[in-house]
Amino acid sequence: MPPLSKTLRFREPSVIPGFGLTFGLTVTWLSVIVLIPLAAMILYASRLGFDQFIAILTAQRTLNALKLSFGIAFAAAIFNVIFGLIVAWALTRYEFPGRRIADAIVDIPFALPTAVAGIALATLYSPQGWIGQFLAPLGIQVTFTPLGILVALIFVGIPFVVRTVQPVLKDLDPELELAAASLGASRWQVIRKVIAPTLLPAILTGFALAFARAVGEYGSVIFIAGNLPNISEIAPLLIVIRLEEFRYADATAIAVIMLFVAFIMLLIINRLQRWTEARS
Amino acid sequence: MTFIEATTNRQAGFGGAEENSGPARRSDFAARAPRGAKANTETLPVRILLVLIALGFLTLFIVIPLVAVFLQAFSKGWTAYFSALTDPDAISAIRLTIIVAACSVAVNLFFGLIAAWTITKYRFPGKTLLITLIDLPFSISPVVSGLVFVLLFGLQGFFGHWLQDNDIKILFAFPAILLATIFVTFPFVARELIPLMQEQGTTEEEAALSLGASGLTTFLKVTLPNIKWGLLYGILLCNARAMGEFGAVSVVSGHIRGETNTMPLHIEILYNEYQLTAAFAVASLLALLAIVTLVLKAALERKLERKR
Amino acid sequence: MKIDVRNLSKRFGNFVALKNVDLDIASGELLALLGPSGSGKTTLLRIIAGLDFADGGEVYFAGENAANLNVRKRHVGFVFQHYALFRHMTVFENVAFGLRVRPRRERKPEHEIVKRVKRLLEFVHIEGLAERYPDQLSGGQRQRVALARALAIEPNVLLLDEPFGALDAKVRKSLRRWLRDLHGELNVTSVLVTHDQEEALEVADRIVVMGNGKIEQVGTPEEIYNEPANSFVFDFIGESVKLPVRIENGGIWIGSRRLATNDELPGTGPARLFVRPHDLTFGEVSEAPLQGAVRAVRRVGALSFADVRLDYGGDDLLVEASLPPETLVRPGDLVGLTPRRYRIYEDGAAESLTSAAL
Repeated sequence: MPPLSKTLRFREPSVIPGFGLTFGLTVTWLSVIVLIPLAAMILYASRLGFDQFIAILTAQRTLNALKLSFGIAFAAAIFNVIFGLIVAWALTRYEFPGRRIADAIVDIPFALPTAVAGIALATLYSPQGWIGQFLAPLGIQVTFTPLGILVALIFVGIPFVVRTVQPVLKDLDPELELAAASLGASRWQVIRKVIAPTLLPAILTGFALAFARAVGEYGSVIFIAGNLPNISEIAPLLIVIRLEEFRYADATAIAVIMLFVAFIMLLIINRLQRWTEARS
Repeated sequence: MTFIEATTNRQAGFGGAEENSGPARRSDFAARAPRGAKANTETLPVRILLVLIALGFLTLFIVIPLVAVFLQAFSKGWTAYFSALTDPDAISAIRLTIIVAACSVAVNLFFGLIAAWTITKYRFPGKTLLITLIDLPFSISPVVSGLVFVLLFGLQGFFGHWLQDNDIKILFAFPAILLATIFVTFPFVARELIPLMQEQGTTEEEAALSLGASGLTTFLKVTLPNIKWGLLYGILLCNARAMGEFGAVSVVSGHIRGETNTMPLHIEILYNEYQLTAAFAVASLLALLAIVTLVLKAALERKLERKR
Repeated sequence: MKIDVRNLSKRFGNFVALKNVDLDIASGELLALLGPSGSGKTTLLRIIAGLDFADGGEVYFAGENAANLNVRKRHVGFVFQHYALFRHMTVFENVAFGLRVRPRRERKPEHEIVKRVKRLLEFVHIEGLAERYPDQLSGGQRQRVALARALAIEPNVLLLDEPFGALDAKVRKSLRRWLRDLHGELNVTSVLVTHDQEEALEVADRIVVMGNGKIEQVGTPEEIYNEPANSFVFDFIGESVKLPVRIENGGIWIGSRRLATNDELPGTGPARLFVRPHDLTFGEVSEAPLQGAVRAVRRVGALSFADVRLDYGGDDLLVEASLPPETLVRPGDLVGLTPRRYRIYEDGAAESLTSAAL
């Protein structure tokens, strides 16, 4: 083999045949289905020009929608961290009646189509609904308000924190806790100084996953949100509305921002996951 | 009362009595940590409180909505339920959903396998980037996933005029629905297979090749049998998402009744027309699909775990 | 089959796995590649098998360049470190695999395959396990299946990567002997990779000692043990004691005492003396070149060892010496030690300057 081709070699030679074929097909298919369409969208947005792009994004309605989407997604993710931790803790640490079923149920938001969740939540929380009827006398209105969006986003985010924290909690060496306790640490100190630092990467990963999912969520939100402009209109919905008005430029500008955030979140999540693996 | 039993159990202390001499069934509210660790847990009231919070949270946010779907669906009796499902528009939506899901599962199965093979069986630079790009559709808003195809094939889009001139219909028709569904379910199969195949390494393939097997034989007789359960798992999740996808499909379908409506879109229309019972009847089918998916998934997980 | 390795080089990123390796493997011999981890022995084995690719150099199978023979065509029987048995196939199917995947023209009829597999299973003494799956077998049994599977294709050469690495000590010992006998029966050219010197010394016709991607020495077990070519081999094979010494005025100086030598040594400077523990004889404190206090006496089976702390010009050095049966020492005793057979290596140099009675 001439030395030139050695230095330019793309991959380690392998005895397993088929690299060219499978790599080629993978990259081609990825490009056709994912990369080219996304590139087309970015190209479309770049034709808008900077001023128009900024004008669309700083329009009051767009700003409100983006603020609402990110703000409530953030709140929902916080909520999911707190309750997700409790659920994960109870499922891995205690034995109680119905534990197996509770464990299985956690995955429902992954598997249940968003439209189904959306109409169910909207019906439950309407002022006449099973849950809404108890809240209405207290002056709490859920449907058609940001609170409704929060409920929907909590629902879609439940599995993320539970499922990232659970394996770490399971692998946590009980002897570590025993050792700490035998050294005189109180239970609370053990939790704070031994357990919490180990769980932190997993918690952050779960938070990031739940947040990323919630920011882009559409189906489960639109039914309960009522979609009042500037009040309960999320960014993905605004994209749909702009599309229906044939204002492609507006839709694309918002979409590009959301794609950008999604990509950043993906990079952060990858980092966090590597951190989690390094810790455990 | 079971709580008292738990207390005594707790005081049993170190020594792993739980595994060796204790009762076969663990006591309620006992700590689950293995051997000895149960001496090191929260007090009973705290444990009960935490369990109740966890169960309350899951009940409020998951169980009640799920139960509501079925109760609403049957609120006007079986006849109303079945007439909602046998409505021609409903049947056409069910048929379209099944066809779209079958096609996208088949396509993603094929390419998921190829992608997982190329990522796990070779060493090349940029592998992490490739995995990230395959994962990308997971984190993109479904609405954006639909939008990209509107920008490609819509009248104002890149190929819009050309498609119109040649009388090819992609947007607001089956091809766009299929493309959008393939897009959002793109990572499912590859993502399930990559960790599994990484763990299995390449030595069995090397052994097969050194015994004279061809590349294809090696794949069919050695690799495929080793990943079949993981593959099934991926198909299961891919199918559930394909059938339930709403946002992306909603953007590209055009909502033509009886033609381009999938089940989730049909649910939306019924709901917006205040046909609640009918909407929930169709929704109950998808909820059932979700439950079946999870049951099968649990069974598969047990199988995969035993394999290890 | 005779295998010649010419000038092989291989890097993994910045790590040099093989550096211009030359090796001739004679037809029918059982050769052991011995070395610490990272010495390149497994890489060499995999390149011979066609499972890895060299950056430079060639491998010749019976004089023919194997560059154009991929692993399928080389007909090597490769036994993997963790066996790599096909876990979804029975023992029988595993062994039959190589026969069944042959192109239709070369494939034997099924009844002959069955007959041959049965014979092989008998040959490796696992005929009763044919219908078991790999995860129902013990480590030793898996090893036998892996060997039967590799032998099924009537290989030109049998390559074994740490074949006993994953087994416990007792099984290792019996399988070693068994492999030796098996090789005697089959006479197929075999190359075995191991980091266990005892294994290599016991099983192999010839041993190749490797270190840092290079071949340090090739020889029979006796040659390797008794005439280590350099300090690396001396240190790696068997137990050894290293003592810093000085070369001065043609003699070897340990501290202030001169070691009795026959020949004059050239040069001046620091050096290291290598000696096997059983080559240190106990003697009078006043006469021996080494003195020290006995720290502990240990009995291991029939042998006794004494840990002697040498008083070494301020530096303490703990040395383990074997005690002759008639010698009686107790902890605290002052003793003298004389290296009977030893080698001297100049600091930084691998080649021996001199040796005494080796």
